Amino acid sequence: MSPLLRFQDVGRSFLTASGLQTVLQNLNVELYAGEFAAITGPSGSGKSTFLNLCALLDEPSSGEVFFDGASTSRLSEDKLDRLRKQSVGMVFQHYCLLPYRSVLDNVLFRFRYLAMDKYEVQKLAWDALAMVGMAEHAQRQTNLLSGGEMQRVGIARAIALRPRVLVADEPTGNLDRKSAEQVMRCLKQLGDAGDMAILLVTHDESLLRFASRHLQCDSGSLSEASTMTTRSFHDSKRPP
Amino acid sequence: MTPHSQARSPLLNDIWQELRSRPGRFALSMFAMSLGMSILSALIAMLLGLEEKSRDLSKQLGTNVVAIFQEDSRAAHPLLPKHTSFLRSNYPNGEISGIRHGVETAGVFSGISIAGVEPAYFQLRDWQLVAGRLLDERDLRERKRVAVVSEYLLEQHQLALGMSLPLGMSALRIVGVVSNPSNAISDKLSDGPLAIGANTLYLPLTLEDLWDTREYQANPLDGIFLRIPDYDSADQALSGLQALLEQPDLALERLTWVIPSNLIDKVRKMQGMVALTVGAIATLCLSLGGTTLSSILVSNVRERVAEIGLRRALGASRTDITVLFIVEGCVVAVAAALVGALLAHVLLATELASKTGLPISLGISSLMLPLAMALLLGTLFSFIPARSAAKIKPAEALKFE
Repeated sequence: MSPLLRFQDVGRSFLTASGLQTVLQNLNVELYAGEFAAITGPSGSGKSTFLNLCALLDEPSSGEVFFDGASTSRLSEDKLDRLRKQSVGMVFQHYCLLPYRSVLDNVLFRFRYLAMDKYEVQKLAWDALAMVGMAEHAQRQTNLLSGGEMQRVGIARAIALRPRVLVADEPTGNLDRKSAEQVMRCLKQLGDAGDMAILLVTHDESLLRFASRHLQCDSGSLSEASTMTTRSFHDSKRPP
Repeated sequence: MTPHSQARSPLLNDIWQELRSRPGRFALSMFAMSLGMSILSALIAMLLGLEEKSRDLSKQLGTNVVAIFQEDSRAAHPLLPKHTSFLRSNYPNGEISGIRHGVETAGVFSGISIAGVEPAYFQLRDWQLVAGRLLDERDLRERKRVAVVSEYLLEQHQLALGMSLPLGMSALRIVGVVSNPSNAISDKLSDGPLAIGANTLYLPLTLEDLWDTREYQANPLDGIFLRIPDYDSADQALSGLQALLEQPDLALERLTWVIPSNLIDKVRKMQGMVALTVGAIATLCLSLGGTTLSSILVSNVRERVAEIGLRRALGASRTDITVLFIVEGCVVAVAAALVGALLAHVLLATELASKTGLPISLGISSLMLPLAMALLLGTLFSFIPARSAAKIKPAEALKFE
């Protein structure tokens, strides 16, 4: 089984006023379909930069990122855009919902840049809403929802197209304990259900039990964490 | 998605939602642009009106007709009937008519133009006889107290063929009615004998003492109308005429020669003047409107960085983002053009237009050209904000989430 995402000697630096700042260096990571990887680490350690690279929103300064075996650095911008719209879903800490639009409108926005049959789009959107338990709120305006509900709409939008990689940047950062657990259960169900690779950044170690893999990000490098509270990941899915 | 938004294209739906969420801001830029667009629309209506005018002028003056006037009505050596005879002797086949005109100041016909003309005048101006007869040589020779009126005058004063009209101490009998002569020359483009038209009583030229109370040394004419026989040699014929009447023996001072091309030149000059003045105002207003639109779009881009990031994360390309903002700018500009053009049409269709004295042509062009201009300006002024939005890196943009 080949990895869905493979980072090979990946480094990412940014030119700042104080000079070149290296955020990630010599990253060698493989992520497989069906994995639910939680990434923890202090602020500024490069977690979000790593997620942006996973979501194909950013390009490495050195090394190569392989998506399903193909080097992304060899893809044109158009092909990257296409790959991103078809294969990547993102969940944001602050939900990033379109205000004053309905829950359903926000989920349908996932298909905004795709040429698909509108009935199929509607079906996928309703399925996604049902999956996160928000179908009955489909016509409500997003600005009237609670934080937990908004995040579930964000997740519905991200998964509506059944992406191969789901990237979630601190999705529970703004939620209370109950809502956070609800969102994590929702993500875990998705990880368990399909062949989607889920990458989640969190500061809340108590939520690690939902993940199948724990990566520790520190000073620009990523390593497997030694402790794993819960393993819902099916080892059979992972190559020896 | 609401049923309404489903019916629209996704791009227009996005723009509609954006306009709805910031109505005040877009109303401001629309207002700024619609001012310029209404002026532009008015400018186009005026220019088209003048263009139509220039096309009609030749017809209005009379085909191949030259009108000769004297700039100074109190000239020491005025145009006289003998000059008409002189021209007639040189152009035996040409139609020639002297004209003397004035305005009735008292009585029933106060305010009406009175023109003393010769029989050829009506043919020269291509005015059609509707009833009765036109003036003839006998009327002139025998100083018959007859008049020809237009249909307009007939209706306005409830006159009839054969009716007697009081004029000063005399009475005139209406012997003929002509179709309403085009008096479109009677505006700011022209005055004097050219300005007379429908609102005029036409009498034999020899009856001037009945109505013209001005004191003259001689019996001057206000103008002479003459048809150049061969249109192809109009310039040559005009030179010949000028040579005849401007010879030192006649001592005629400061003659004005009006031919269709003179009138058209006059219109062209006016077109240039209107284009320059109104065009400058329109350009200024449109620039201000465009700048307002541009700055509002720049501010929108700044406020919508997270949304741009989301769109990029969902697979929007740079082109998609550029198109979104350009179309947004164009929608505002086109809406402004529609409002502006309609406003201009409403204002020009009312009394305001007649007060300017300028010919106005309200048509599809004065609506479509501002729309085309709006598309151009919308694209132009939204291009820079749109490009700057497209250049935002998605990873950077999502930091503003």
